[in-house]
Amino acid sequence: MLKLTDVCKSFPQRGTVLDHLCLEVAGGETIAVTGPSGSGKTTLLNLVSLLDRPDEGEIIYRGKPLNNFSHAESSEYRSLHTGFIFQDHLLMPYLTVIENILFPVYARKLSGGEMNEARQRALMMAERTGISGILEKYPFQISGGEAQRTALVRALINKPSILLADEPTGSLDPSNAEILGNLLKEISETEGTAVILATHSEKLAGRMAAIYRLVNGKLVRI
Amino acid sequence: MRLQLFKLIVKSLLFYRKQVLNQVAVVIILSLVITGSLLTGFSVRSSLKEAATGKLGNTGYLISSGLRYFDETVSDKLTGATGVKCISILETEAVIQKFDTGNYKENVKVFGISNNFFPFHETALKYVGPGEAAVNETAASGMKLKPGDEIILTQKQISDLPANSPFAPSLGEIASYVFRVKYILKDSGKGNFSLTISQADRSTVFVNLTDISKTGRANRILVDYRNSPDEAEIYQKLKSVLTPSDVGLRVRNNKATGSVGIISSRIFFDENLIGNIRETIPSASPLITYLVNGTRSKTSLNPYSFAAGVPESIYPEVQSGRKILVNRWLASDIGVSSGDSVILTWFEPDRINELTEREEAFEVSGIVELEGKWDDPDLMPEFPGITGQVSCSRWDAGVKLKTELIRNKDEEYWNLYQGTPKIFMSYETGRQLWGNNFGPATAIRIPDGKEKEEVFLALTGNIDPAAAGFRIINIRDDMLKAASQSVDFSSLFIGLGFFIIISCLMLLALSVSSFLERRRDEIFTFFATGYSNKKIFYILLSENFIITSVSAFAGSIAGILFNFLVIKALNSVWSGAVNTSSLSPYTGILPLAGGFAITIIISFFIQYLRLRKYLKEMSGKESRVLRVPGREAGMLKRLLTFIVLPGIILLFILSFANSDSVAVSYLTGGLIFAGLIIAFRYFLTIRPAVEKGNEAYLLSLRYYAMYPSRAVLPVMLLASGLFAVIATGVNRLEITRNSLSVSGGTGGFLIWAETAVPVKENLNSAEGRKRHGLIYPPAETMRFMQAKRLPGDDASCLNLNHVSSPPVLGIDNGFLSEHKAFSFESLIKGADPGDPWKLLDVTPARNTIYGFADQTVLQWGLKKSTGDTLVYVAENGEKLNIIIAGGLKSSLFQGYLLTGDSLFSEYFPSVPGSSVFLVSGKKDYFSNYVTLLNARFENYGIEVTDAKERLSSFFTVTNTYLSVFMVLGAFGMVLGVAGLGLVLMQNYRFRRREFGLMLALGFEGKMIRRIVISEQVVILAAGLLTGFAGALTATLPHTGKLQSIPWISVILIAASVVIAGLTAIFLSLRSIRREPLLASLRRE
Repeated sequence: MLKLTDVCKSFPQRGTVLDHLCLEVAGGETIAVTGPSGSGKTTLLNLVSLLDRPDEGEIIYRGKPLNNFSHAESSEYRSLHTGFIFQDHLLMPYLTVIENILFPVYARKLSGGEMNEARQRALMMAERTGISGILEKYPFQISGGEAQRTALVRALINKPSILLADEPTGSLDPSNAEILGNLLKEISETEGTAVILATHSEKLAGRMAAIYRLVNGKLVRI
Repeated sequence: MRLQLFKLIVKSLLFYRKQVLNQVAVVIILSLVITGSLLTGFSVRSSLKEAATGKLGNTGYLISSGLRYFDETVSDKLTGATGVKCISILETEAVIQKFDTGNYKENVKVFGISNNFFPFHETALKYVGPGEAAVNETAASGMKLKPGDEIILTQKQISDLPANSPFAPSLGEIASYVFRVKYILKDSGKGNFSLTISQADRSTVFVNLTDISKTGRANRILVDYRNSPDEAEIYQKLKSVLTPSDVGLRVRNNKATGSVGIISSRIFFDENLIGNIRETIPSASPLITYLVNGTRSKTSLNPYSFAAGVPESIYPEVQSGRKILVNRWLASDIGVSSGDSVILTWFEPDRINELTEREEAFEVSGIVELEGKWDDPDLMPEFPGITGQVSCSRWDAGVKLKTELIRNKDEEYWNLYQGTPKIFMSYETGRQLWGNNFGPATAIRIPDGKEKEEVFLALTGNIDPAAAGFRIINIRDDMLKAASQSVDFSSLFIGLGFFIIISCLMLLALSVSSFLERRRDEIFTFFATGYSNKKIFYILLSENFIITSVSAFAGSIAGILFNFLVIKALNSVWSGAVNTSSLSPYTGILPLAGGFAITIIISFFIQYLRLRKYLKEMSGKESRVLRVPGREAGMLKRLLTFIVLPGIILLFILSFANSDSVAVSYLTGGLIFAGLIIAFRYFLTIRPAVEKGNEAYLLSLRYYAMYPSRAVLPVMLLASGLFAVIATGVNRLEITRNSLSVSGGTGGFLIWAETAVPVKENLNSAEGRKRHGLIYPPAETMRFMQAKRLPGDDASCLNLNHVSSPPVLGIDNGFLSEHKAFSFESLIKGADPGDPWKLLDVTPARNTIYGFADQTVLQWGLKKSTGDTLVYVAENGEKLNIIIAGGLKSSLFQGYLLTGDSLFSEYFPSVPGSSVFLVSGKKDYFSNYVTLLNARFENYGIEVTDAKERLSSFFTVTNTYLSVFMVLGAFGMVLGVAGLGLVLMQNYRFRRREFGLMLALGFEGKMIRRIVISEQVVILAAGLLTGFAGALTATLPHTGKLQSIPWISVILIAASVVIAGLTAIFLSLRSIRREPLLASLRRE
């Protein structure tokens, strides 16, 4: 489904971060990318989500090269095919939980029926993740774990093929981290969503089907 | 440790230099406006003070004889006595006409000077000889005069005898002279010389004193201010040098009685002078002689004889009461003997111009022979129009005499006996009958055998200057004090720049908040690494102090430029507010330091409050005000439904019922304003369902529901600015139909006219109309309200100086009472609101009368209120208290203090006639009236003004201030909007992570731009709508028409605001660029 071939990325202050990196991800596959701070984990996720562009190499999604996508095509790609979870959830402080979940939907031009469908999916996902009781609350009224679960549901609302998670449990306590980790695995299995997880947590990484380590800008399977 | 903290502060400021620029800019503008305003006030006051000292030259004290005159040599004697330079001048007013073109200039100040005038002021030596004139630049430019041109100067005749004194001659009250212009005087050459407290430039002419006063009479002495004695000493020295002839007294031997007599060039002696003479010479005895129109017995009438009220000390034969002695000639003429009754008829002395006759019956108690003391032609005063005339029929007694009654025998009597009185009574009786405003005596006799020279010497050095009409005024101090207390332009411009200041303070608060928010993580790190609250507060406060101090200093310096520009504007486009073009920009340490200090204090205070609140939240001492949005919706809805809406409906009903009520319409407008703000606030609580195409709207609503102040504050600022500017603009004073009505500012009069030479006659009387050619159509439709004028310092809003002695008008209050003309803003307790004018005939106490003034003048010019007292000095030297009994609504009389003419004449009898005229008549004949007046009163130097134009000219000052307010208010709003745009831009930077997230989640860039644009547009639109709706509701009902709104200004202001808003949007959009947004999401 997703293929990265000889992808290189450098930054002026940091030098080469990714050096002829190669990766293949099949549909529904879960992989963890580990490595020390500054190794390029977030850069990899940014390239996959087209938040950034590689200096060299190719990224091919379902046979289509993504390198030359226009801004509009990139937006559409991110809207329909990827979901992103950030370390500090990045919920909109002025939207309720349900509104935050539906936030990505607003980017698409949906019909009334499609909108209802999205709403139903949101309620179902909220039920599954245990946040159905806080749907009308605001981010400042919920806990960090609840917020991160909200972010997870938001990331999955458009049924993406790829879920990108950048240190999703970094701000959580062990028990919430465990819950989130279980959810990630479970949803990947039920939704058929591929998961690319960047993490320091060995425990979390261990729940993914494959573990890679970023070493000297390249991925090494462990 | 301190040094490290200081380094930390400096590094922080340098790092965030771009972010602090907002605060710096705001504080600079704030400082510029405050310091600039203070400098403007300082400049205006300094200019007025400089103008005052410039006008006075070396004059310190001014000795004035008021409406009287004295010999010009008094100043030389005073110089000798005091050792300080003193010079005499003659101050008067005239109209000048350019000989070749006929160009005319009224209201010209004339100074009769000697060759010591220019040396006194130490200016370049100039000599204005006989037949020559020096004019100032104002006169020269106004009439296009150059050296060599000829001018005709017309003024009232300079004479000791007041023109309205009983039996003063009617001819010769106007004098005309031809002069050749020799010099055009610049200000440095004393062309600006003036003794009046006013900044206005006035046409002034300097001529040789002897040209306009052949007998060398003067009415002012200038005392050099350097090493000058004080007022008390000047008074004593003046007294010591005064001789009888200096003040118009003549001592002569009286052959008939063998006594010495004193007569006055003024004819009548007032009470104080008599008292003064009697203090020096106890045996001095006053007498009074008067012209009796007719003496009638049962059978005959004798016309025009003199009757004398004589002192018992010389005439013990006279009896008191209504008993008279008649001479043999009269007795045989009308066939009376002792015991018979006769009727005497005479003109009332104080109403002689009205030819009001009075008659009384007397008993002939004896007949005297025409010899000895009974044959004394010196008893008749030296009436200029009577003394020396070859026959009675040639008498010019100032009144119309029925010369047909004069018989040959009367002429024979005149030839033989001149003015020898035929009738004698006691002095007390004569004084009762003929004592008048000018005095109760026509001569003083000294019966105790003193010689003429002895009497002269006895009086020399003993004449009380006050009794002779002299006043000593510290004019230098008065003028400087008036300038110091002048209109406070500092407060005025701070008030006018109110919106700029408010905008700056709001922007400062917003900038500080934004800046602190931006540094949230950094400040959190301070807490996290162990810095105490106090230390963090100190560090951040120090940063703010440095920002504020540097900015305030820069702004203060920029304030010098602001001041320069404002003064330039006041001298040109805004000159309507100041009535001069000679203000100069001054810079002073005090206003600079003051502006700097005030800016620092208020800016620092705002920063301190924001910082304290922020740190309390950060440290957890206060919970961040995060509220669940929308909870207040119910409360807002109830407020709108049950209070605002009903209130508006009620007030609308009230305003229809009472459309004149300004209060009701402003209350309605205010409520609509508040209602729309509340409605907008309520609108932010609405939670519409997500539908196709409304995502941008939805997200914006959600954001502002959480942070309502970020939308409501800009709307309020915009709306209140518009409200104030529009409401102010509408309140521009204009002539309305009401102004032209009888109760309005014009009193229903069509014309306001002033003459340089007073007119003695009553122009409503047949005699007066005939005399002045006002008998042919359409003159018969004209009615005149006449007023006598005592000169003073203009107290209208056209004078920036603070005056305490406005000119006084003695008005025909009966006329105004009859017509119920004009309206009053305020009246003292006890005044009859149905007819306040009659109060002007009341004397509440000795030397106390009532007066009225324009309310605006009272409040702003004189800084007095109804019930306060102004103190003047009457002609007899005594203090006259004028209690302010009421304030007139904006009227033609602005600048004057009004009193009733009868009481006015009692205290200022030497004002010979009316100089101010209000003319009513038929509107269609207006231009005919103007032509007629200009033709008939050309020699009196008449200046005719349309009454509504005069009223309109007083509005110029207020309207100019309103225009300035509109300009500065508009600038303030534009600044507010532009600044808000900048702050919003900062907000968007703060929201960039949100925008970055939106991009990451698939939102297109154009949607984000749509969100930004729509938010700004809605805020702008809400602000404009609220401001307009409120202002129009507040002002339309009582202005009555849409035309009264200054649409052009309003549209320009709205356009400026919109352009500023759009510019802010454009700049905001530019800052929302893709890469920086996405970069905010990239974290390692």
